[in-house]
Amino acid sequence: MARIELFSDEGFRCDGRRPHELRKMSCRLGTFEQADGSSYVEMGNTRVLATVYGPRETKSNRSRLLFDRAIINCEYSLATFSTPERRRKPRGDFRSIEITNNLKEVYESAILTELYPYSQIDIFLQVLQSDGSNYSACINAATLAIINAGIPIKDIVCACSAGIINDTPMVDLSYIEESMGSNAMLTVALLPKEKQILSMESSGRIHLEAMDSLVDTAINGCMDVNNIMKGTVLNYVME
Amino acid sequence: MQTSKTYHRRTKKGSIIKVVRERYLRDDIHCGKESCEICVKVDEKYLPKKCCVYLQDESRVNLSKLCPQSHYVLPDLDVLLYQFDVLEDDAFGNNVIILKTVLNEVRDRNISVYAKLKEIENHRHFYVLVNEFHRDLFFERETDEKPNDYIDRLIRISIEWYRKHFQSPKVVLLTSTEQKKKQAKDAGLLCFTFAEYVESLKSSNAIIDKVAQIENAEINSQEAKFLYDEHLSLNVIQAGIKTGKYYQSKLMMNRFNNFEGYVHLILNNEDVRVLIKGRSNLNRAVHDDIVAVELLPESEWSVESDIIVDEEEVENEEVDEIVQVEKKVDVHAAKDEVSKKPTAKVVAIIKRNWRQYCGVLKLKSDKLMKSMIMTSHLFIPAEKRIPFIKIETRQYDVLKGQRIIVAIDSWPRDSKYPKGHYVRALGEIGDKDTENELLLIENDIPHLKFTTAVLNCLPSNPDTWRIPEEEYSKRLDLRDRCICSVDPPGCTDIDDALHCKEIGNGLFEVGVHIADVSYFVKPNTALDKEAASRGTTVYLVDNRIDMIPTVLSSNLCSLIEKKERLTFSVIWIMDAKTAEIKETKFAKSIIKSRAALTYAEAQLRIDSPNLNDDLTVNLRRLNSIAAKLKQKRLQNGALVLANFGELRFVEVESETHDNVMEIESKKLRDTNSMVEEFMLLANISVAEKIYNHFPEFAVLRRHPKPSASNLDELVKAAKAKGFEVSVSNGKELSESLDKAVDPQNAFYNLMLRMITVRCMRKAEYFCTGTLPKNEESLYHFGLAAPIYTHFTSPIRRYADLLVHRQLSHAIEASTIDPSLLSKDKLKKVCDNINTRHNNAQNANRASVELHTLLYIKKSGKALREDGYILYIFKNGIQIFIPRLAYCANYLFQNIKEWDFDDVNSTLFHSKTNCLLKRFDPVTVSLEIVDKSNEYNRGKEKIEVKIINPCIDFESDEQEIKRIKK
Repeated sequence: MARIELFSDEGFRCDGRRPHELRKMSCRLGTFEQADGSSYVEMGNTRVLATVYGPRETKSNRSRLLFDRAIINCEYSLATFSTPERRRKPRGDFRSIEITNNLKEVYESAILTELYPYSQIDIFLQVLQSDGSNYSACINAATLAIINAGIPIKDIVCACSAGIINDTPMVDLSYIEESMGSNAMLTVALLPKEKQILSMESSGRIHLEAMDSLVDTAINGCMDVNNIMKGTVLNYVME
Repeated sequence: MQTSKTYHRRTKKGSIIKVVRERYLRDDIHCGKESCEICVKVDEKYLPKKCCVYLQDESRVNLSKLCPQSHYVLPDLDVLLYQFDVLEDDAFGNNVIILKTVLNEVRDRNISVYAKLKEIENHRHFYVLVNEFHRDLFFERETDEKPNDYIDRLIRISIEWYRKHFQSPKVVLLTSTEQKKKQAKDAGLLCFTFAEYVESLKSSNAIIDKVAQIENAEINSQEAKFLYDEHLSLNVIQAGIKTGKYYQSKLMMNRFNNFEGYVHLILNNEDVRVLIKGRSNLNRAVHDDIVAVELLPESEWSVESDIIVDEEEVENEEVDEIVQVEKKVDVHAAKDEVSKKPTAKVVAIIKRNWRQYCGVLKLKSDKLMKSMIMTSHLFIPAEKRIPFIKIETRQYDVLKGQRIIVAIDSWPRDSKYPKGHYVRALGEIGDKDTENELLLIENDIPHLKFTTAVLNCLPSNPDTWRIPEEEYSKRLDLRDRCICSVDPPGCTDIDDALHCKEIGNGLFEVGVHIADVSYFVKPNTALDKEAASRGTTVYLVDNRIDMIPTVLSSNLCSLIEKKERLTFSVIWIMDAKTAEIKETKFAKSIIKSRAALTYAEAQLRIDSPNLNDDLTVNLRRLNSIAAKLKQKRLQNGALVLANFGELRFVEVESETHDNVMEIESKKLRDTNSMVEEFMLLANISVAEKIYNHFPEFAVLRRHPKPSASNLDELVKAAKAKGFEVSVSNGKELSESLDKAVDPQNAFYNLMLRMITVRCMRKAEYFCTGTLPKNEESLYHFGLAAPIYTHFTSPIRRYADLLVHRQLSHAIEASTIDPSLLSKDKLKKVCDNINTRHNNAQNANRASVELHTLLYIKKSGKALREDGYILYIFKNGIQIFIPRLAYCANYLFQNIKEWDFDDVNSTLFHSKTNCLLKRFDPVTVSLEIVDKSNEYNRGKEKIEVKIINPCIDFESDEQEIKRIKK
């Protein structure tokens, strides 16, 4: 098998995108009747299903409820059939726990939780197919589900990943680019109106000088994602 | 966002993994024509910097007779792969369209063609059409379609699309075979075979010879008489290597014998040198190829030949040379049953490492040439390890007296010699420039002019360049110190300067100041990449090939007298009496050199008692400290090795002749070793600093301790004269070498040291993270230094530049580039520098040899020189001539009359009762023989005759008479 050229001299990535282009992204709201809010997001071959329940009272862990705001409960799972090689468990590995905690923090600061004291909001994320940038797809899906549930949120939180390949920053990495690039990868979650960064997560080593351009690239990617999400929400509301 | 289609491709990898990959097919890919109305050019900010080239609107008008109107050409895969030498030639013309699919295939099959293509694509307007992401041009491969057919189909689709896309210029397909041309013609496309197209070009004469001959193996295979065994298929080889039946290794040919090569194999966990003998066992493998070999049964093992197969000899016996040579070898083989070595044969070639070769055409008799027109000629490479190459050319009359470059195309089974094609001519044989270029090419030294991209990295106006204001505040100001540089005469790239200042309490402040090249050469610029690839400045006898452009090397970086320059300084506080270092400091600084002295000038100042100015006092202090440092170093066991070739050819301007050359031997003065000592000390100090700061990434230089078995040769050589050399450690070796002095033979000690150098491994650059962490791997044996690096010559060595950058970060003067913190990248860079360094040395040696030849030639008569026997072979001896620093090989014509004694390595001639021992003095006559008429690899050769003892008495009766008189 021939070597894969991650970024060609002619300016194309291995799937035919240019560095600043996202994969084809499509989203739907209200995919489940049962849940209070739900959404389905496709970013290229990465597909995520999100459901939101609440704000509601719970009986099971009353002790954890807070008197001044709602608590957020997140659950991220990567389906056993979602990766090329079948996974043993959908949850519980280091990466899943990390993503779960990150998501929780993102939405604790984005949702206006103080409106709902003594209550709990549950966000469930299920990755159906994984092809890179799972974390950013999850944030986008969760935001849409929260909007669908009618929970007040500061802004349409959107996220996008970026990485550096052959010294060129590029957005929305696919699985090949993530795994073969062996380079740093950065995921930014953004409040688009104020361009405020809610969370920034990176892995791999990167030189400090390249950091700025990488963050800028990721933010630009977020703005593109935001446009698509906004369009989806408007369409949904119109219907 | 562009409109894009999603498309899935499923491929199965080795096991059961299903890979789903997206492929976005786009409609915004430019067709390539500069002024196309339909296509929209993509904003340049989204493109990588290198790629903005489009095809010119008017192209190739009236270039070809077949197609006089304006057109572009689109070569198919085979044309690109095998005919690249033609495409590369400017005479072929610009504006070539290359499909991305084809380009990828080229990359996978032949990386060197790909690299060359990448180099010329911009200025020659080669446009890469990214058809694999184009909505109209991409189609999936059908299930039963062969890869090559698929590519051909894609090419036809593209041409068809171009025809609809624009009317003019036309796009012409160039195919490799008639068959493919017919296929394309059937589809109604404009198409020519490559050969007929090139022939129709206006300037075809220049390039028609370069058209490679692609053998159609299937046609030939039926009737031809095969000379070689078939190579095994890759599958068989892979399976065989796994089971241990075959071995994979790189073939190295014997420098003295073209029918003998060897490979290094790991047998029973031991590195064994395995012989491959004779043409049929070598089976079309060429020097440097990666081959698969099979060991022969022990009964067929053979012995390494001690003989030198002379080129002329081979020539005379051309018809059945194999038989002859083999027989000769057998005579010896019978003698030493004991010393048989493992022998193998080549069963397949895994990777060809053919490059382009320099050489000459073999001359044919004029009669033959008159009677018929012959286009098939034999090419004789200058590198003796390469076989002759058969080429087709119609320019025989023009090329016969020239050095030419030839590339190998193929080596079919029925052809004794590989087939190749002519690439270009260098110039007249014997011309100094031609010979110089030859040795540069043969040693793979990049010697082209610097590209504009590189020159753009330099300050735009070097004459008015001043040190920027902010540097004065950032750097240590050492302009008040009395700094001077000491270099050989005529040196323009001064990269080091020294000072010494008394600071009371019996302490000296001693400083070594090195040109701060890293200020001008920033990482990852075109300049930096070029310097990294060149690796080192190459010094030839009459020429210098710079690593960085002359503006830097001889002006801005060079520490010129009375000019302010940026430097990197190492400053020690030293005890004036014991030369003990109390404190070491590193700093970026600014200096103003008081004087640029030569070694002789500096020595003169030190020696004249009347001079007592600052500078002279400084020099005296430095000199006395250096003497103490040297003493310490020698006590630790540092070796003093003979530097072979300490000669300079000085061109003396003369009014009557062009240039007369004189030999001037380098005189060693105290000041030479003074500068050397301080450079060594600076290098060691820097090595310690960067190693402490970057234990994993420091770029250091090491010189491994030679194993005892490697030094056997030396012990033997010493014994021949009755000396014992102890090789157990550096100190003892050094001391015993000092003792081995023969009062009757002034050069004996020198020769012994030369042999020592040959026995030892070469010093090398390495990155500390790539070797195990222990003292041994850091050790520099020759200098007896536990740690060492190169810091003091950044103008001429790239390694020093790396070290400068690392040190600069270690003292927190700058941030560091990420490439300096990657073991893999550093290893690659170090490997490259090591090879370049070796090549530079080889080129230098070749250049000295060339000038020796020119020197003898200029003298116009046979030179009589005194020499000593350095080595004794079975059929010849090597003679060292101290005055010329030249080693000459001498072969006996009547070898059977000589008895070879292996143990004492002596040759005895019973008829004349003449005994040749190692290190015996001999008198030789050296003469230039112009053999280019008969043959000889195009070289005028130095012919050696031994006058005393009288060996060449038959051929040299006059000489004998003269001696008798």
